[in-house]
Amino acid sequence: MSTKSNRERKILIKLLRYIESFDSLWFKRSSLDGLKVLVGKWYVFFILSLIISKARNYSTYLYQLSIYAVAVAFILVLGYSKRPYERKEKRSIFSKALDKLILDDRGADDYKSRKGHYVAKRPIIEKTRPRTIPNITVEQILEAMPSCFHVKNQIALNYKRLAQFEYLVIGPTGIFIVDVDNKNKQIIQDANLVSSLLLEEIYPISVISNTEQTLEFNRDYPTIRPTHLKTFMISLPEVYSTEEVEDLVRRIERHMVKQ
Amino acid sequence: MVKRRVIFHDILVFGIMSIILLLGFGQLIIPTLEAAFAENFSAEASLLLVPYRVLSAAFSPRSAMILSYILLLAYASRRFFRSSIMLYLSVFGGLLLYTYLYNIKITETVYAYPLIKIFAVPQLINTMIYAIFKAES
Repeated sequence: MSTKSNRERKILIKLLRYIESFDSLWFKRSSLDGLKVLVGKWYVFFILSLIISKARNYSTYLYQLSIYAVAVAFILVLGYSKRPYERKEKRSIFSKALDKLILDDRGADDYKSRKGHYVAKRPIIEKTRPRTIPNITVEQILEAMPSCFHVKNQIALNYKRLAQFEYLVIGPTGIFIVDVDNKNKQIIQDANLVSSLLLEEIYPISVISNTEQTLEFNRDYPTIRPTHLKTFMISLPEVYSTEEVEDLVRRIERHMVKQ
Repeated sequence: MVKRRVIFHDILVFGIMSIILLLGFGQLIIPTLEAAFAENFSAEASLLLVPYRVLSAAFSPRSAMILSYILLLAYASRRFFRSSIMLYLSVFGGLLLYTYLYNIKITETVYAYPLIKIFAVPQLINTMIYAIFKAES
Protein backbone atom coordinates (compact mmCIF):
# COMPACT_ATOMS: atom_id res chain seq x y z
CA MET A 1 0.00 0.00 0.00
CA SER A 2 2.86 2.31 0.77
CA THR A 3 3.87 2.49 -2.88
CA LYS A 4 0.59 4.14 -3.82
CA SER A 5 0.45 7.86 -3.80
CA ASN A 6 -1.78 9.79 -1.42
CA ARG A 7 -4.17 10.89 -4.12
CA GLU A 8 -4.63 7.39 -5.44
CA ARG A 9 -5.40 6.14 -1.98
CA LYS A 10 -7.98 8.84 -1.39
CA ILE A 11 -9.76 7.94 -4.62
CA LEU A 12 -9.65 4.25 -3.69
CA ILE A 13 -11.10 4.98 -0.25
CA LYS A 14 -13.93 6.98 -1.79
CA LEU A 15 -14.72 4.18 -4.22
CA LEU A 16 -14.68 1.53 -1.53
CA ARG A 17 -16.86 3.69 0.70
CA TYR A 18 -19.38 3.89 -2.11
CA ILE A 19 -19.35 0.12 -2.60
CA GLU A 20 -19.60 -0.41 1.16
CA SER A 21 -22.85 1.55 1.22
CA PHE A 22 -24.44 -1.37 -0.62
CA ASP A 23 -23.47 -3.74 2.21
CA SER A 24 -26.66 -3.05 4.13
CA LEU A 25 -28.66 -3.97 1.05
CA TRP A 26 -26.76 -7.22 0.60
CA PHE A 27 -27.08 -8.37 4.20
CA LYS A 28 -30.74 -7.39 4.45
CA ARG A 29 -33.26 -10.20 4.50
CA SER A 30 -35.16 -10.41 1.24
CA SER A 31 -37.03 -12.82 -1.00
CA LEU A 32 -34.06 -12.96 -3.37
CA ASP A 33 -31.79 -14.63 -0.79
CA GLY A 34 -32.19 -18.05 -2.37
CA LEU A 35 -31.17 -16.65 -5.74
CA LYS A 36 -28.10 -15.02 -4.19
CA VAL A 37 -27.11 -18.36 -2.69
CA LEU A 38 -27.56 -20.18 -5.99
CA VAL A 39 -25.50 -17.57 -7.81
CA GLY A 40 -22.82 -17.88 -5.17
CA LYS A 41 -22.56 -21.63 -5.80
CA TRP A 42 -22.59 -21.35 -9.59
CA TYR A 43 -19.62 -23.69 -9.94
CA VAL A 44 -21.61 -26.68 -8.61
CA PHE A 45 -24.18 -26.34 -11.39
CA PHE A 46 -21.49 -25.62 -13.97
CA ILE A 47 -19.77 -28.93 -13.19
CA LEU A 48 -23.08 -30.81 -13.14
CA SER A 49 -24.14 -29.35 -16.48
CA LEU A 50 -20.83 -30.53 -17.95
CA ILE A 51 -21.58 -34.01 -16.60
CA ILE A 52 -25.07 -33.93 -18.17
CA SER A 53 -23.67 -33.05 -21.57
CA LYS A 54 -21.19 -35.93 -21.33
CA ALA A 55 -23.72 -38.44 -19.96
CA ARG A 56 -26.15 -37.92 -22.81
CA ASN A 57 -23.84 -39.86 -25.15
CA TYR A 58 -23.44 -42.88 -22.85
CA SER A 59 -26.90 -44.10 -21.79
CA THR A 60 -30.38 -42.82 -21.03
CA TYR A 61 -30.25 -43.94 -17.41
CA LEU A 62 -27.01 -42.06 -16.77
CA TYR A 63 -28.51 -38.99 -18.38
CA GLN A 64 -31.60 -39.18 -16.17
CA LEU A 65 -29.45 -39.78 -13.11
CA SER A 66 -27.36 -36.69 -13.81
CA ILE A 67 -30.51 -34.56 -14.16
CA TYR A 68 -31.68 -36.03 -10.87
CA ALA A 69 -28.32 -35.05 -9.33
CA VAL A 70 -28.84 -31.44 -10.47
CA ALA A 71 -32.30 -31.37 -8.88
CA VAL A 72 -30.95 -32.77 -5.61
CA ALA A 73 -28.01 -30.34 -5.66
CA PHE A 74 -30.47 -27.48 -6.16
CA ILE A 75 -32.33 -28.41 -2.97
CA LEU A 76 -29.20 -29.13 -0.94
CA VAL A 77 -27.45 -25.91 -1.96
CA LEU A 78 -30.55 -23.93 -1.04
CA GLY A 79 -30.82 -25.75 2.24
CA TYR A 80 -27.30 -25.95 3.54
CA SER A 81 -25.56 -22.78 2.39
CA LYS A 82 -25.80 -19.87 4.78
CA ARG A 83 -27.83 -16.83 3.84
CA PRO A 84 -26.04 -13.45 3.86
CA TYR A 85 -28.07 -12.29 6.86
CA GLU A 86 -27.08 -15.40 8.81
CA ARG A 87 -23.38 -14.70 8.63
CA LYS A 88 -21.55 -13.84 11.79
CA GLU A 89 -19.53 -11.07 10.27
CA LYS A 90 -21.93 -9.01 8.23
CA ARG A 91 -19.27 -7.23 6.21
CA SER A 92 -18.23 -7.64 2.63
CA ILE A 93 -14.67 -7.99 1.37
CA PHE A 94 -14.81 -4.37 0.22
CA SER A 95 -15.25 -3.01 3.72
CA LYS A 96 -12.43 -5.26 4.95
CA ALA A 97 -10.18 -3.86 2.23
CA LEU A 98 -11.24 -0.37 3.24
CA ASP A 99 -10.32 -1.04 6.85
CA LYS A 100 -6.92 -2.30 5.83
CA LEU A 101 -6.35 0.71 3.64
CA ILE A 102 -7.30 3.19 6.34
CA LEU A 103 -5.56 1.41 9.20
CA ASP A 104 -2.33 1.27 7.20
CA ASP A 105 -2.41 4.98 6.72
CA ARG A 106 -2.28 6.28 10.28
CA GLY A 107 -2.25 9.87 9.19
CA ALA A 108 -5.61 9.68 7.48
CA ASP A 109 -8.36 11.86 8.87
CA ASP A 110 -11.04 9.24 9.11
CA TYR A 111 -8.87 6.80 11.03
CA LYS A 112 -9.98 8.16 14.39
CA SER A 113 -13.68 7.81 13.75
CA ARG A 114 -13.14 4.36 12.32
CA LYS A 115 -11.10 3.25 15.31
CA GLY A 116 -13.63 4.63 17.78
CA HIS A 117 -16.34 2.68 16.02
CA TYR A 118 -14.41 -0.52 16.56
CA VAL A 119 -13.50 0.03 20.18
CA ALA A 120 -17.07 0.81 21.13
CA LYS A 121 -18.38 -2.30 19.46
CA ARG A 122 -16.07 -4.85 20.96
CA PRO A 123 -15.53 -4.79 24.71
CA ILE A 124 -12.29 -6.37 25.79
CA ILE A 125 -13.01 -9.53 27.70
CA GLU A 126 -10.12 -11.31 29.31
CA LYS A 127 -10.31 -14.96 28.52
CA THR A 128 -9.54 -16.93 31.63
CA ARG A 129 -8.53 -20.52 31.45
CA PRO A 130 -9.32 -22.83 34.37
CA ARG A 131 -5.93 -23.49 35.91
CA THR A 132 -4.93 -27.00 36.74
CA ILE A 133 -3.63 -27.18 40.27
CA PRO A 134 -0.89 -29.79 40.66
CA ASN A 135 -1.79 -32.56 43.05
CA ILE A 136 0.84 -31.97 45.74
CA THR A 137 0.22 -32.52 49.44
CA VAL A 138 1.34 -30.14 52.17
CA GLU A 139 3.62 -32.83 53.56
CA GLN A 140 5.56 -33.05 50.30
CA ILE A 141 6.00 -29.28 50.18
CA LEU A 142 7.19 -29.03 53.75
CA GLU A 143 9.68 -31.83 53.16
CA ALA A 144 11.12 -29.81 50.30
CA MET A 145 11.69 -26.74 52.48
CA PRO A 146 15.27 -25.48 52.95
CA SER A 147 17.28 -27.05 55.77
CA CYS A 148 17.17 -23.88 57.87
CA PHE A 149 13.42 -24.40 58.32
CA HIS A 150 12.49 -26.80 61.12
CA VAL A 151 9.21 -28.61 60.48
CA LYS A 152 7.36 -30.32 63.33
CA ASN A 153 4.57 -32.68 62.32
CA GLN A 154 1.69 -33.79 64.55
CA ILE A 155 2.86 -32.38 67.83
CA ALA A 156 1.16 -31.56 71.12
CA LEU A 157 2.25 -28.76 73.45
CA ASN A 158 1.55 -28.77 77.16
CA TYR A 159 1.75 -25.15 78.13
CA LYS A 160 -1.18 -23.68 80.08
CA ARG A 161 -3.34 -26.19 78.26
CA LEU A 162 -2.91 -29.07 75.85
CA ALA A 163 -2.70 -27.80 72.25
CA GLN A 164 -2.30 -29.98 69.19
CA PHE A 165 -0.79 -28.84 65.90
CA GLU A 166 -0.71 -30.48 62.54
CA TYR A 167 2.36 -28.60 61.35
CA LEU A 168 4.61 -26.14 63.12
CA VAL A 169 7.34 -24.52 61.03
CA ILE A 170 10.16 -22.51 62.54
CA GLY A 171 12.53 -20.76 60.18
CA PRO A 172 14.57 -17.57 59.79
CA THR A 173 11.54 -15.77 58.27
CA GLY A 174 9.22 -16.51 61.21
CA ILE A 175 7.17 -19.10 63.06
CA PHE A 176 4.18 -20.59 61.23
CA ILE A 177 1.26 -22.73 62.32
CA VAL A 178 -0.03 -24.51 59.22
CA ASP A 179 -3.57 -25.83 59.28
CA VAL A 180 -4.78 -28.07 56.43
CA ASP A 181 -8.40 -27.96 55.21
CA ASN A 182 -9.83 -26.14 58.28
CA LYS A 183 -9.26 -29.06 60.64
CA ASN A 184 -8.15 -26.84 63.49
CA LYS A 185 -11.01 -24.56 64.45
CA GLN A 186 -9.09 -22.55 67.07
CA ILE A 187 -6.01 -21.74 65.04
CA ILE A 188 -5.81 -18.11 66.32
CA GLN A 189 -6.00 -19.16 69.96
CA ASP A 190 -3.23 -21.69 69.34
CA ALA A 191 -1.12 -19.00 67.72
CA ASN A 192 -1.64 -16.75 70.75
CA LEU A 193 -0.63 -19.64 73.02
CA VAL A 194 2.63 -20.23 71.16
CA SER A 195 3.38 -16.52 70.99
CA SER A 196 2.90 -16.26 74.79
CA LEU A 197 5.33 -19.14 75.16
CA LEU A 198 8.05 -17.84 72.85
CA LEU A 199 7.24 -14.12 73.13
CA GLU A 200 7.47 -13.86 69.32
CA GLU A 201 5.03 -13.13 66.51
CA ILE A 202 3.32 -16.25 65.06
CA TYR A 203 1.81 -16.57 61.58
CA PRO A 204 -1.22 -18.86 61.40
CA ILE A 205 -1.76 -20.12 57.82
CA SER A 206 -4.76 -22.03 56.54
CA VAL A 207 -3.96 -24.25 53.54
CA ILE A 208 -6.79 -25.62 51.43
CA SER A 209 -5.58 -28.61 49.42
CA ASN A 210 -9.05 -29.64 48.19
CA THR A 211 -9.26 -28.16 44.69
CA GLU A 212 -13.06 -28.16 44.62
CA GLN A 213 -13.24 -25.97 47.70
CA THR A 214 -13.00 -22.25 47.00
CA LEU A 215 -10.68 -20.00 48.90
CA GLU A 216 -12.51 -17.75 51.33
CA PHE A 217 -11.02 -14.47 52.36
CA ASN A 218 -10.16 -14.32 56.03
CA ARG A 219 -9.20 -11.12 57.81
CA ASP A 220 -7.07 -12.74 60.51
CA TYR A 221 -4.87 -15.19 58.61
CA PRO A 222 -4.09 -16.02 54.99
CA THR A 223 -5.89 -18.88 53.25
CA ILE A 224 -3.75 -20.22 50.40
CA ARG A 225 -3.23 -23.20 48.14
CA PRO A 226 -0.48 -25.73 48.95
CA THR A 227 1.52 -24.63 45.90
CA HIS A 228 1.87 -21.12 47.35
CA LEU A 229 2.86 -22.27 50.83
CA LYS A 230 6.59 -22.49 50.24
CA THR A 231 6.88 -19.15 48.46
CA PHE A 232 4.76 -17.51 51.15
CA MET A 233 7.05 -18.67 53.96
CA ILE A 234 10.32 -18.01 52.15
CA SER A 235 9.44 -14.60 50.73
CA LEU A 236 8.94 -12.95 54.13
CA PRO A 237 11.89 -10.88 55.48
CA GLU A 238 14.43 -12.69 57.63
CA VAL A 239 13.99 -12.04 61.34
CA TYR A 240 15.99 -14.71 63.12
CA SER A 241 19.54 -15.91 62.75
CA THR A 242 20.28 -19.65 62.64
CA GLU A 243 21.28 -19.69 66.34
CA GLU A 244 18.03 -17.95 67.30
CA VAL A 245 16.05 -20.50 65.29
CA GLU A 246 17.75 -23.39 67.08
CA ASP A 247 17.04 -21.72 70.41
CA LEU A 248 13.34 -21.36 69.52
CA VAL A 249 13.17 -25.03 68.53
CA ARG A 250 14.77 -26.03 71.82
CA ARG A 251 12.23 -23.98 73.78
CA ILE A 252 9.37 -25.59 71.89
CA GLU A 253 10.71 -29.09 72.40
CA ARG A 254 10.89 -28.45 76.15
CA HIS A 255 7.09 -28.24 76.28
CA MET A 256 6.32 -30.98 73.75
CA VAL A 257 4.34 -33.98 74.93
CA LYS A 258 5.86 -37.31 73.94
CA GLN A 259 3.35 -39.33 71.94
CA MET B 1 -32.88 -20.07 12.79
CA VAL B 2 -32.34 -23.06 10.53
CA LYS B 3 -29.43 -25.30 11.44
CA ARG B 4 -27.35 -25.27 8.28
CA ARG B 5 -25.36 -28.39 9.03
CA VAL B 6 -25.95 -32.10 8.64
CA ILE B 7 -27.97 -33.54 11.52
CA PHE B 8 -29.03 -37.09 12.33
CA HIS B 9 -32.40 -36.86 10.55
CA ASP B 10 -30.69 -35.63 7.38
CA ILE B 11 -28.54 -38.74 7.32
CA LEU B 12 -31.66 -40.84 7.90
CA VAL B 13 -33.46 -39.28 4.92
CA PHE B 14 -30.39 -39.54 2.65
CA GLY B 15 -30.06 -43.17 3.66
CA ILE B 16 -33.67 -43.91 2.77
CA MET B 17 -33.18 -42.07 -0.54
CA SER B 18 -30.11 -44.09 -1.39
CA ILE B 19 -31.90 -47.34 -0.50
CA ILE B 20 -34.77 -46.43 -2.83
CA LEU B 21 -32.28 -45.62 -5.58
CA LEU B 22 -30.45 -48.90 -5.02
CA LEU B 23 -33.72 -50.82 -5.31
CA GLY B 24 -34.70 -48.87 -8.42
CA PHE B 25 -31.41 -49.54 -10.15
CA GLY B 26 -31.49 -53.17 -9.01
CA GLN B 27 -32.79 -54.20 -12.43
CA LEU B 28 -29.50 -52.96 -13.86
CA ILE B 29 -27.25 -53.93 -10.97
CA ILE B 30 -28.31 -57.59 -10.54
CA PRO B 31 -27.52 -58.77 -14.12
CA THR B 32 -24.14 -57.04 -14.04
CA LEU B 33 -23.36 -58.62 -10.67
CA GLU B 34 -24.28 -62.04 -11.99
CA ALA B 35 -22.27 -61.56 -15.14
CA ALA B 36 -19.22 -60.42 -13.23
CA PHE B 37 -19.23 -63.24 -10.68
CA ALA B 38 -20.73 -65.95 -12.91
CA GLU B 39 -18.09 -68.55 -12.05
CA ASN B 40 -18.18 -67.97 -8.32
CA PHE B 41 -21.96 -67.85 -8.02
CA SER B 42 -23.39 -71.16 -6.83
CA ALA B 43 -27.11 -71.82 -6.85
CA GLU B 44 -27.28 -71.38 -3.07
CA ALA B 45 -25.36 -68.13 -3.12
CA SER B 46 -27.68 -66.65 -5.72
CA LEU B 47 -30.53 -67.19 -3.23
CA LEU B 48 -29.07 -64.28 -1.24
CA LEU B 49 -30.04 -61.94 -4.06
CA VAL B 50 -33.68 -63.04 -4.05
CA PRO B 51 -35.07 -60.44 -1.59
CA TYR B 52 -33.20 -57.71 -3.45
CA ARG B 53 -34.61 -58.97 -6.73
CA VAL B 54 -38.14 -59.09 -5.36
CA LEU B 55 -37.98 -55.58 -3.90
CA SER B 56 -36.37 -54.08 -6.99
CA ALA B 57 -39.10 -55.55 -9.18
CA ALA B 58 -41.48 -52.99 -7.64
CA PHE B 59 -39.34 -50.06 -8.79
CA SER B 60 -38.03 -48.89 -12.09
CA PRO B 61 -34.93 -46.62 -12.08
CA ARG B 62 -37.00 -43.62 -13.11
CA SER B 63 -39.73 -44.16 -10.48
CA ALA B 64 -37.07 -44.61 -7.80
CA MET B 65 -35.51 -41.28 -8.73
CA ILE B 66 -38.90 -39.54 -8.70
CA LEU B 67 -39.92 -41.03 -5.36
CA SER B 68 -36.63 -40.19 -3.67
CA TYR B 69 -36.79 -36.66 -5.05
CA ILE B 70 -40.32 -36.18 -3.71
CA LEU B 71 -39.10 -37.47 -0.35
CA LEU B 72 -36.23 -34.99 -0.38
CA LEU B 73 -38.54 -32.12 -1.34
CA ALA B 74 -40.97 -33.01 1.45
CA TYR B 75 -38.18 -33.18 4.01
CA ALA B 76 -36.49 -30.00 2.81
CA SER B 77 -39.76 -28.06 2.87
CA ARG B 78 -40.16 -28.97 6.53
CA ARG B 79 -36.53 -28.54 7.56
CA PHE B 80 -35.14 -25.68 5.49
CA PHE B 81 -38.08 -23.75 4.12
CA ARG B 82 -40.52 -24.36 6.96
CA SER B 83 -43.65 -24.12 4.88
CA SER B 84 -46.46 -26.65 5.00
CA ILE B 85 -47.78 -25.28 1.69
CA MET B 86 -44.57 -26.31 -0.04
CA LEU B 87 -44.73 -29.72 1.60
CA TYR B 88 -48.26 -30.46 0.34
CA LEU B 89 -47.56 -28.99 -3.07
CA SER B 90 -44.36 -30.98 -3.48
CA VAL B 91 -45.78 -34.30 -2.31
CA PHE B 92 -49.24 -34.33 -3.88
CA GLY B 93 -48.39 -32.08 -6.80
CA GLY B 94 -45.30 -34.14 -7.54
CA LEU B 95 -47.19 -37.42 -7.41
CA LEU B 96 -49.97 -36.03 -9.60
CA LEU B 97 -47.55 -34.58 -12.14
CA TYR B 98 -45.35 -37.64 -12.47
CA THR B 99 -48.22 -40.12 -12.64
CA TYR B 100 -49.77 -37.92 -15.34
CA LEU B 101 -46.50 -37.99 -17.29
CA TYR B 102 -45.69 -41.67 -16.71
CA ASN B 103 -48.96 -43.45 -16.16
CA ILE B 104 -48.01 -46.85 -14.77
CA LYS B 105 -50.29 -49.83 -15.12
CA ILE B 106 -50.73 -51.28 -11.63
CA THR B 107 -53.20 -54.05 -12.40
CA GLU B 108 -55.01 -54.92 -15.61
CA THR B 109 -57.72 -52.36 -15.01
CA VAL B 110 -56.16 -49.90 -12.52
CA TYR B 111 -53.74 -47.17 -13.60
CA ALA B 112 -51.65 -45.02 -11.29
CA TYR B 113 -52.92 -41.59 -12.35
CA PRO B 114 -56.63 -42.00 -11.49
CA LEU B 115 -55.64 -43.71 -8.24
CA ILE B 116 -53.42 -40.80 -7.19
CA LYS B 117 -56.06 -38.27 -8.28
CA ILE B 118 -58.51 -39.60 -5.67
CA PHE B 119 -56.51 -38.36 -2.69
CA ALA B 120 -54.10 -35.83 -4.24
CA VAL B 121 -56.66 -33.45 -5.75
CA PRO B 122 -58.67 -32.84 -2.52
CA GLN B 123 -55.43 -32.27 -0.63
CA LEU B 124 -54.27 -29.74 -3.22
CA ILE B 125 -57.62 -27.92 -3.01
CA ASN B 126 -57.21 -27.86 0.77
CA THR B 127 -53.74 -26.34 0.53
CA MET B 128 -55.00 -23.77 -1.95
CA ILE B 129 -57.74 -22.66 0.45
CA TYR B 130 -55.23 -22.62 3.30
CA ALA B 131 -52.81 -20.48 1.30
CA ILE B 132 -55.53 -17.99 0.36
CA PHE B 133 -56.77 -17.59 3.93
CA LYS B 134 -53.23 -17.38 5.28
CA ALA B 135 -52.38 -14.61 2.85
CA GLU B 136 -55.49 -12.68 3.92
CA SER B 137 -54.79 -12.98 7.62
